[in-house]
Amino acid sequence: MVSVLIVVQVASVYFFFTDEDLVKTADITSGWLLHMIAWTSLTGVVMVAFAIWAAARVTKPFRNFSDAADRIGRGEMEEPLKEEGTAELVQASAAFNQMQRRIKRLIEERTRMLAAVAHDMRTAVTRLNLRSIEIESDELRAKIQSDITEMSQIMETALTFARDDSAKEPHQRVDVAALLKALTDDAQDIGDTVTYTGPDTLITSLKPISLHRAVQNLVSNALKYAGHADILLSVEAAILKITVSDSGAGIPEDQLDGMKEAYARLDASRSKNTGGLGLGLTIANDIVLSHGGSLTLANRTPRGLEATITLPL
Amino acid sequence: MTETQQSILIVDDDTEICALLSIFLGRKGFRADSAHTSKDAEVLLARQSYDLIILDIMMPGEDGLQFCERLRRSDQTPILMLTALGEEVDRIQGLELGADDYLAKPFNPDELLARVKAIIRRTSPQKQSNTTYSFGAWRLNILRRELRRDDGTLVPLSSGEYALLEALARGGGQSVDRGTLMAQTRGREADPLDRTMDIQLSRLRKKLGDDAKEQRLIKTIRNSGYLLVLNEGDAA
Repeated sequence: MVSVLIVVQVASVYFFFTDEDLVKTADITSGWLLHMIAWTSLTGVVMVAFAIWAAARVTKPFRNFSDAADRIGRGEMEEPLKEEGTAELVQASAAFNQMQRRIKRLIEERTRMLAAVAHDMRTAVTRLNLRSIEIESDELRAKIQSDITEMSQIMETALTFARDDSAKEPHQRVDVAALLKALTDDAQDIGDTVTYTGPDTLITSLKPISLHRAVQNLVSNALKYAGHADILLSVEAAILKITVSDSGAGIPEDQLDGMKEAYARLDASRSKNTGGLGLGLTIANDIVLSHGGSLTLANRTPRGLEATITLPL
Repeated sequence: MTETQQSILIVDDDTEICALLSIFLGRKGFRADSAHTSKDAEVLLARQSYDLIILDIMMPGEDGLQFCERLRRSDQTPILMLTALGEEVDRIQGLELGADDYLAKPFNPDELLARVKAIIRRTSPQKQSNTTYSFGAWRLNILRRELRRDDGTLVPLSSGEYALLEALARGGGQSVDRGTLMAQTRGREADPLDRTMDIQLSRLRKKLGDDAKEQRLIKTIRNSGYLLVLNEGDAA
């Protein structure tokens, strides 16, 4: 842009001084000097313009390259890069494509393995469930069946995380207030203390199954650590906010950030009594990110934890 | 309950599951046969008719979905599909191919029994029922278990609200008695002073925007039960 302006400016100066009337009246020496200056600057400008153009031509493949790396980083698999440009670039592109193929193969293998494990595990657990009916002691049978239920829940959570279902679910128009109320009612119907505060109706576009899972995970955490959960829905300046809060012990400030990482749990001992795999928050976070939103955790005063999902409307 | 013993065909490639299911259903008063492939199932179906088929999706050779589709061309025996949890695609596909209900593996045996009884109960008097119902400015799809507004907006319902609405819709514009609705909405632990249904009903009316006094959509029929006013063409 700047170079074009300079070219135009210099060119106009040059043509001004070569104007016939001016050449006649001007001193020959100074005319010659002006001529030289104009020529030199014009050449310089052309060279700068060429350099900029050449640099752009050389860097463009690099830009494509980094854009592609960026997209893969976000989990979008795509066509292999064109292997062109300088020898180094051809080599880098080839290496990049090979890496991409390898990642793709690893993901496919993982998905196949998960499907196979899931099928065999579900079959075995189904058998176990049916066998448990034979247990005569009511107490023992109830305990075994509750263990089986917990086992299958852990298994399904891990599979949900690994499959990353939310990436595949399409957006659709949903009454998100009705969704949160339904979640609250379902929890209350099985005896949990969950409340909902917010509008009766709020229609927006999102992934209903995934969002339900994200909020459900936050509610389950609140129930587990505090025995109750309060859901709040609000809209401020085109931002939709869903807050799940409790008045439990909260999370030590220095551990807040790490809680969203996979398999993180407040009690590092992974003791049994608080249960779970430590994937709930990670799954919720992934889902919210896939909506282009964010999940934040904060301690409340005087006590309690507040998990806030913010989504752009 | 019924005079004649009801028969169930179990189709699952896992022989142990077939055996365990047969014993379980046998104890609950059903007669159960099992087949491990779709071919075996066809041989048995040619020989006699069943009140219900329990069909596993994941089978070597012809899978449950393909078998269900093929079977539906000539046979209307109710089908309970066994799917893997979370695999939404299988579930919807199975129902669209003509299965009557689905249950995710691993299932709780009592849950299976409840589904089996529900399917037999609702398929025995009248044949195939509708899959979508419209009423007021609403559409209910019982395959996808979805309630939508006319403009397509999804309005999620709680399990209790959904069960109640589905039972009312299946009434086909006729009154559905309180006992039937209660059986649909009651949770695992039945409460003798069951107020659950009334709570679900008032929540449902609120979500549908149906005034409890005006009762444009859900009408209370004195001494009889409740009626969902279906739009023209959906009423039985």
